[in-house]
Amino acid sequence: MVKLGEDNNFWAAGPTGPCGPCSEIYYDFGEKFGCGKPDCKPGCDCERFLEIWNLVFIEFNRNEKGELLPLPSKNIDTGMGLERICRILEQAPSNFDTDLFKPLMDRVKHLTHMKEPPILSLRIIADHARAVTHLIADGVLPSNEGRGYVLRRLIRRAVLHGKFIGVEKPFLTELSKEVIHQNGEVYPELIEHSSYILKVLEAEEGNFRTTLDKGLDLLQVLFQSSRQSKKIPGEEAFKLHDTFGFPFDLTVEIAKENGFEVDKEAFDREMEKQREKARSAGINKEDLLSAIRKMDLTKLKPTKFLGYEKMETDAKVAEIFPFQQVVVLDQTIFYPEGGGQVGDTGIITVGDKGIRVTNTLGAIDGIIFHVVDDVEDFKIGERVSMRLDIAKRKATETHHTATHLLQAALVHVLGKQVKQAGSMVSPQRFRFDFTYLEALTPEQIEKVESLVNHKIKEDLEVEISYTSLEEAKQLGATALFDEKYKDRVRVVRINEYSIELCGGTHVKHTGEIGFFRLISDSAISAGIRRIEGVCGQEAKIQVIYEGKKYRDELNELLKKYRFLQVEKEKLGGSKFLETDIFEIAGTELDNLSRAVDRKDSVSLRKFLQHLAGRLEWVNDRIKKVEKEIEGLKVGRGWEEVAGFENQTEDIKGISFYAKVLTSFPSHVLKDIVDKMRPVIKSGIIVLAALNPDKALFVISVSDDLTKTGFHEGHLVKILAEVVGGRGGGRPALAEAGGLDKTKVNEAITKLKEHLNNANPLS
Amino acid sequence: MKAKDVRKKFLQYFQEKGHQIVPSSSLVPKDPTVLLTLAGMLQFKPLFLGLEKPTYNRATSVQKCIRMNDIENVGNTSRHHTFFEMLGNFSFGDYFKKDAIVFAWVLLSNGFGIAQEKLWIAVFFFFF
Repeated sequence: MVKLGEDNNFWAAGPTGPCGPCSEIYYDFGEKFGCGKPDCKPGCDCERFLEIWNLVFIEFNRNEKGELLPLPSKNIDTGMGLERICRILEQAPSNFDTDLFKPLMDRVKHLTHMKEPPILSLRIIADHARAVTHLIADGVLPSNEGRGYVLRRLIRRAVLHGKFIGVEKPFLTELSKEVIHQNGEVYPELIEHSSYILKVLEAEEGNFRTTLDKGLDLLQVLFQSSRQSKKIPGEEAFKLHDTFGFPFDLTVEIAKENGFEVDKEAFDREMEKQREKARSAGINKEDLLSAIRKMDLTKLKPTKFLGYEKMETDAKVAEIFPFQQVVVLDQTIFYPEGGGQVGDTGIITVGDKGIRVTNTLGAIDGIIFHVVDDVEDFKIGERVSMRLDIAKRKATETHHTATHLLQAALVHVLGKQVKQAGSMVSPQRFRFDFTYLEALTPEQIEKVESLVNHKIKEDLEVEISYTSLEEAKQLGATALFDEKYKDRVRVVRINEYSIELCGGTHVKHTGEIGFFRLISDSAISAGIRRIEGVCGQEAKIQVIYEGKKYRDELNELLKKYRFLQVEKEKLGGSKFLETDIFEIAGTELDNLSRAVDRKDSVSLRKFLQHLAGRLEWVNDRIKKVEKEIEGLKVGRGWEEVAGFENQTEDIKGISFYAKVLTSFPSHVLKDIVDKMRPVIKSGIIVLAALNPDKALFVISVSDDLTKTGFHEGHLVKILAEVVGGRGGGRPALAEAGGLDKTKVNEAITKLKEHLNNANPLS
Repeated sequence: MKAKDVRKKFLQYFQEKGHQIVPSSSLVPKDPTVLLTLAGMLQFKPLFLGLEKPTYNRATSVQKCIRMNDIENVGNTSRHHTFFEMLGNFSFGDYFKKDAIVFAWVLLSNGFGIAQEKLWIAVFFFFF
């Protein structure tokens, strides 16, 4: 029996809560597993003693101040690690050699070509596969915070170690299947949610692999450039994080694996710099709010919000925060950012001076904070008047009401599993996040769009009422999952179609939305999709702009196409018949805005697709003509070198052919040389082209001659020097270009001299 | 002995000693003070604190747990994991130290047949 102090033998599950002294039972593997130190005993970090069971005698509750308070009763809490006791009973050398891990590690071994994959990676993958499978089964989804981040980090680590041991394809679902198979009997939730678990894993692993591949490539470059110092600069690690979304802890992990360090201090400095930048740009409202939160707000009453009904009002200044450029009034019409809706903007007039309100924030004890351009003119207790930027507010309202219709339409088309996971509505657009596993099909998107537009056409009344939470639930109102609602809730109701609890501002009739258009559908994490869209006037402007863009692009392409046709005819190609080529006419663009006015999203999609199709068609044609032109040019060049097989010179036993041609691009010259090579089996070919901008050489040396020491790279340099240019190329073919076209023949003469003098190793 | 049998034997042993078998709670705890379930006792915390009245005063469970504090050790040692299962027995104002120690000792040595000389005990010792 050994006696240990509070660090070891006083157990608590956290900083507060039930706790007490404990006794631990250790298993002794014998001295040969020990560290050999004279004070080696249970509790030592070495592998001799394994703690298997901890018995805690719970008699205290530790409160927030850290005091131990005796509990009303004395309790027992014990815990024994299953993996550890199994290892002892199976007489296995490690926990990983028990039947809990072995099948998993065997599976991983099958996925790699390595004969002896590093055991560390095998263990980590097996361990993490168990953890992530259970986490997802218990409802955790990958995200960037809290439990979601724990899950994401484990998935990423597992994938990374898979990469280390050469597993090229996604593999986590396969391991997860094994975990489910192994443990489904004991934990039925694994079987119940199995297809869901696999889908989440597949999506998250897929996403991460893309990031990982990109990041690994960049890291390789960094390893090269830092191979002296063995330290990755923090600025580079930050760039990976900031620009490519490559997590810092992964950079550290991979660096460690390769024997590198990462400069964390510099990384932190860069992070701080970025935050500073955001602060000075005035966009970091979190910092602003947290600064305000530290102030004494106790004497302030909640701001009365009149913005549901009024667009203008008077008020009294209640408080000024000069450093934050924030003003609090006793009442306001400015909607504070919340529920996904952006904060209002407008003007507050003090005396005869108008001061701009750039944002409105809320969320602290019902107090509304107006962020203004300048606080100088405000005095506490004085009266001011205010006016909303009505156009912006109205545009925001169209987007907000539209998201309500959208949610109802999504439930209708995709099913009840659709739950709102977040939203953002601004004057310019809306964003709506919801739980759903798959990408929407084009048909589903079209259906959702036309359903919402249909409801806009019906011009339904948007009714606002207040009721108890109970009653709202009975109405079937949808609400954000973990949002906290007070006893009296605000219900936004559009006919029977949509009933939501919502504190935001809305249009009075759905007709005011005008038109509804979806722009994108993407996954923001496994199981959560994001839809973005635009309504009303904004949508119409966007559609008109898109139509114009199509027209401009098509016109450019047509110009290019006609130009190529002329070139083709000049080269002796077939005559171009302009029968099926049209510009996009103004009336076609009118069709787009007419579809918007009719709220006909189906036709709009068709029109736009048609325009995109025409662009594609012309692009295909252009590619075809370009190919034809190249063929014609090679043919013409071939004519220019006709009879070459009988025109070679003999220079010290080497067949040499050189010819100056008219104008050809380098790839055509190369094509011609490639055709000549099989005819002149052994020898050197030089072709020159006199192009409008410069002279061009292509030189080819047959394989037997390169073996005896002729190097095209050297030869081409001789040519290039004379015409004042540079050259280089692949082993069998090299090219050079220069500006002085008059010296082409001189260059060829120089090359011949060289061959005469320096034979063969030059 | 396979893991499956170890779980079964443990639960059966404590059931025979008057313990209620309670299923594992979720890895996502109801308790807002912790991020993830990290021990078998977590689901019984309100009972320990006397906030809820138990319908039983002895319980036993196999609890799934996740602990992230050992993540750097996972794989480097033979004994650390992120996810693991915790076998536990609990008393709510019922038996205390003496019985708890006897239960554990008898299960390990008689039930699982581990030689007693292989087992060491570490106890809490407070220096005044």
